[in-house]
Amino acid sequence: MTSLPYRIVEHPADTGFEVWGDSVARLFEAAAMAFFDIMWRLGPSRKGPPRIIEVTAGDREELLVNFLEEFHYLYDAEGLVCTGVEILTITERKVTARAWLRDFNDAMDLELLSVKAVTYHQLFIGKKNSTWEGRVFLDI
Amino acid sequence: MQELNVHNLRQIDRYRWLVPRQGKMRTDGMVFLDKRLLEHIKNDKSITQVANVAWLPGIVGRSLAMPDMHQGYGFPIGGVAAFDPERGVVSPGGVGYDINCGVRLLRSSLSRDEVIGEVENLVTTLFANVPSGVGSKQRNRKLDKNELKQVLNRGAQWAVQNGFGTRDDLLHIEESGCLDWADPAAVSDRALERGQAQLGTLGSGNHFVEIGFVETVFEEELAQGIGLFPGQVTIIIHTGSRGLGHQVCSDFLRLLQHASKKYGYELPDRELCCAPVHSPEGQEYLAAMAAAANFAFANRQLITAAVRRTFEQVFGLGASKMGMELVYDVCHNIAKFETHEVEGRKRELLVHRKGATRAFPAHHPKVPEAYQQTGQPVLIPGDMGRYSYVLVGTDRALRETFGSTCHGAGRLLSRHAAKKAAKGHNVVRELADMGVVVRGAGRATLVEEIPEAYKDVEDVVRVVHEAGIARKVARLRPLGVIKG
Repeated sequence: MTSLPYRIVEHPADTGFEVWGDSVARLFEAAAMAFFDIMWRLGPSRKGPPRIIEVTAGDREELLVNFLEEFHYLYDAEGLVCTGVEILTITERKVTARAWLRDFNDAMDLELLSVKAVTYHQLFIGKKNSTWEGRVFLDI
Repeated sequence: MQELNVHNLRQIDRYRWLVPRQGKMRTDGMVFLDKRLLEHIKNDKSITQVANVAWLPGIVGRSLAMPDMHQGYGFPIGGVAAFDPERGVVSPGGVGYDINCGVRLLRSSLSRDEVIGEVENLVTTLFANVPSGVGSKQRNRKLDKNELKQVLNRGAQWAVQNGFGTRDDLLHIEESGCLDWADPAAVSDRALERGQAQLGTLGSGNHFVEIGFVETVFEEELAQGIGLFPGQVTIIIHTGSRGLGHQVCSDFLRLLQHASKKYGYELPDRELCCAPVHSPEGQEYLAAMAAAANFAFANRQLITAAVRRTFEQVFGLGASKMGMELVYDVCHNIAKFETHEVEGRKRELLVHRKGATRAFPAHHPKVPEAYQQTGQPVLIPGDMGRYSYVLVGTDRALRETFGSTCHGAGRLLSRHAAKKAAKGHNVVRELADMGVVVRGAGRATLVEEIPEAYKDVEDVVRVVHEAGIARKVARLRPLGVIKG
């Protein structure tokens, strides 16, 4: 069994996750995976054509918040869930990703947690030895 | 930033603890707790957060926290802070993501005995009439953006003009259900898009509609003044501004991160980002926040209409025949301009309440005519199995806490711990054994919201009552609950 590249962190009123990867790109992909796993349990589906997602920010931490918020918005406003994401390019202030999105399906998908927002609370991205580590808390 | 904990507190009396000014704090902090509640927060960061708020420019008086305080984002939950509008700041972190999350209470002329045989039916009908749950949406009511902007301009007044209540309702809502400085133009397209299908929906998490009854009256005269009597059926509605409000907060946290740098503020936490009240950024946030607050007022008004319709369907009588009147509607997460006396001088201040309730006393000009003799009703929901409280505001609250008190019980267990505690239990059946019929949109929400997951709200209410920052009027016991 492959272990997941994230760990859920909880306090009484908080849910968040710690995440890691061998590059910033892998870290962002792992954060997206953690975020989706917290929000949904999705049924099987065939991968449709991907959509290009482009997000900008003032620094790397804010970029991670904005990146996750993008998927949150697509879900809350358009009812879209993400079944896969691949970072194409990433700098301190801009990320471009390929994301596979589809409509949420009441019959086979389960909503696990209502997330109000991705927060800046104890937000962190850093490099320890050769591993990139990050931490994100969600308002729920 | 220095991490503070309970050892940094200096006890003033049984319920008041000072967080002495140190480092870059501009003022002291003050928290209202007893020793039992102190135990609950000893491992979280809420005391540090009280101290962090005291860093903010233009803070007037102390950085405060109510007895249901716990760790939040930026401000602690239960945090109250007032700022000078000329020299001070506004911070989205002092309002929170669920802008104008709040509670309203309806009373009726029905008695517990008259509804007890219909609770199941009421809960099922209510569940059908109020869209609930994660991402809940109105199937047949998606407002176009122009109509939505009307909602954002006029709040509960829009709802009443469109047939979702009476003019009398508006007299019993904080600020009459409309913050008149709202400007929908300050609200992003994304926020509008998230709100278009969510007006009149409950949402998820700790949001609920509860049918209950007045179990205990503590002060007969006050209860009569609020129109409450023992055995009377009541309804509590707890929800906020849904995705629209969350998006407004996220949008402005982003904008104000940059503003904080522009104005040269040194902040201990990014979630405390802020801008001068009179700056373009500060004014834009306040205009958007007020618009989101108005959405929340309208949201609770539409759910009120659904509650009245539910009772009409079940009992075959008009809502007015059943005396279904609005007692009051309070905001929990808001920043508002209010006049307060500071060191003997009346000053206009921008008061932030994040997980705290306004609690103005009798004869205060902002208290509705109906409550001039009693003080403003304060509604404190508990968990879904136990009880909720009706309190009134006091002079002491006005003097000590900018007229603020607690807002609820506060969580005790994380969601994961609650799930673990509920494992092997049939939550619905156990609550039914306690006399509470529950319908939840998802099992996940129900198990996360088990009574054991929350502090006993009585512990919180005892502190505000004995500290004099609110006064107990009545305790309400649940009969039926729909959870988001």
